[in-house]
Amino acid sequence: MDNVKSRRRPAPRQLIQLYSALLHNAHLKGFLEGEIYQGSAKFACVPGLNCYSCPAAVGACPLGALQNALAASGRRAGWYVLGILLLFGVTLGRTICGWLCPMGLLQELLHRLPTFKIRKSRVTVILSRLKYAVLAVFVIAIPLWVGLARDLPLPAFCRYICPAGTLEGALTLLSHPGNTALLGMLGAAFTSKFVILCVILLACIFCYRSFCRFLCPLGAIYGLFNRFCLVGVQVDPARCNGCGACVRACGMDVRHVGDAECIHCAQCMEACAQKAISLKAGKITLMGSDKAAPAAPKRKRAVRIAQGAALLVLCFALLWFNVLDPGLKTPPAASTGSAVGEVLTDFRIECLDGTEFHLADTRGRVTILNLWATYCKPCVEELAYFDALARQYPDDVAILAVHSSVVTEDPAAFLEGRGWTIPFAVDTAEDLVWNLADGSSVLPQTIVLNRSGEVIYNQKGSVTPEALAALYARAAVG
Amino acid sequence: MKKRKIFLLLQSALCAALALLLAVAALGIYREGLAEKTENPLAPVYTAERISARGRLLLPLLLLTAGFALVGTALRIRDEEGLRPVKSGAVPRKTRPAGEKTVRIVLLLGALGLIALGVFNGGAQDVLGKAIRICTECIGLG
Repeated sequence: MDNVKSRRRPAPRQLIQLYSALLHNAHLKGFLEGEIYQGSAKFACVPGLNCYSCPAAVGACPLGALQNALAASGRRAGWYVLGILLLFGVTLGRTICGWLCPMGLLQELLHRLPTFKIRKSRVTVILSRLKYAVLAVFVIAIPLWVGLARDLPLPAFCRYICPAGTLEGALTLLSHPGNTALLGMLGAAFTSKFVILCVILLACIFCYRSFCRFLCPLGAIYGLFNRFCLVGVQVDPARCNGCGACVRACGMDVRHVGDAECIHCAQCMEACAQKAISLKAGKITLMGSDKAAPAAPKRKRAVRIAQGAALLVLCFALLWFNVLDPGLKTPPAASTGSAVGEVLTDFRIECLDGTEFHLADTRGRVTILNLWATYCKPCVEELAYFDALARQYPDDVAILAVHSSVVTEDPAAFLEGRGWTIPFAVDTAEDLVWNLADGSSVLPQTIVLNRSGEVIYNQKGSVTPEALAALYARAAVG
Repeated sequence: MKKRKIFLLLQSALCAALALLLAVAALGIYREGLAEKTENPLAPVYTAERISARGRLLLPLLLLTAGFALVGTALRIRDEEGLRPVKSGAVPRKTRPAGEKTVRIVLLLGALGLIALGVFNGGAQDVLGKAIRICTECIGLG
């Protein structure tokens, strides 16, 4: 029974995990609106694995940012993301996994389901090396290779594996009643990621923190800094008798306390009869019976002050990210005719080649507007289909590809040498086309108008050449 | 003891069956939708009708699994054998490496330097852009 008790996480950690999950996802009204947070706070990476496409997320996922930075490293070195990861690694290391990561909390909750459990063994120790392969292949090699060799952004871990993206991003966005249009874009990518999610969640039920232990590349990165991180569990060599009770009680595949697999959850403190383990931040003892620990009343006071400050921070975050932030999106005041069956409001925009695109001038022709960005792989891939259609019907189709006003690299330089003849424009700072066409926070998006300027298709997600041909045929008769 | 084991077995089977059936349902919708898409390239693979049809079949199993989970948690039923510490010998005592503080300070300064460099070369702006206008395929919407 004592062993079972020792398996239960101490209450402070659970509270901190919950607190951190809330802070990572403070834009709670995103769940109600079905829209992601688009404020400027997203320039900062959060420490844990938390998908930035979650409607409530207020920061950028460090892993997604790293892959995108590596994919674009041919143009701009990703010093910022590397610096952030280094900072998190040196200060907290895998303490982030044990105390702050929302995915860690989810895995621990799933493991609490009353089922048979798989204990750690030599097999799980071997499997724990898998995350380094995932890091090397999906986070580093593929984004770098595809980015440098093919000039396409491919964050492979997000695209093929990440359960946080599927669960927090895709499923939460899809579950909102206002986002039923997103269903139209689902296909092979969603199916494969959904199956992977099911497998991962199931594994987490039976095997403690399966994703964290075997697959998570972020944990693998932080693990590299575990020997040097400021905050973490430490063993007092004067008290330790090397009995190994700490390692045996640990749910992770550690060989000794504080190694690359250790998430500094401090669970081992309860198992240590010698009271040799403590959680420290530098020389300050945060938990444990260390000699250097402050006296009980002083400690209690410090804890109370910390709790009050944390509560204040949380209240401010909730208020800021849901009410006060000027970056919060406001719904358009009037209809712009972007819905199917309506006539899209006229606009003029300057193209990259210096010409002007005037929507009214395209009347009598099939008009296609495409909303894209250089860092979006499906966007870049489908531009070739639009170009092919424009070449096929040069006098009957007018196409305009509008790059998001959020520019991460020079679109003109990006397009150089690709040989596409369709006109390209960058949206105005006020998001003129984006607002008129009901552009959203997800890319790409295609709007098709028939000869009389009536919208016949306005859909988020990429299109296939076959779908484009069918859309042209449908618009041409209108 | 035996009742406890039967409960755990049932709950394990329910969880596994639920995950398996969810995955099979997704694959089924995909196959069905793909067949329709070959006929009509504009037809969506996933539709609300297809999802709700499969959802209705899975709902009883989901509720049963959730019910079992609640009962099991309330009765504090746990796989005590599975949660027991593993058997292994004593482990060598490991202390933190010498010069740890120096390495930490060097790395910390390096991190701050890289962040500053990244802010000046537009890296922070890149992160913001990609986090507020999202590539759909990257999160599995594709």
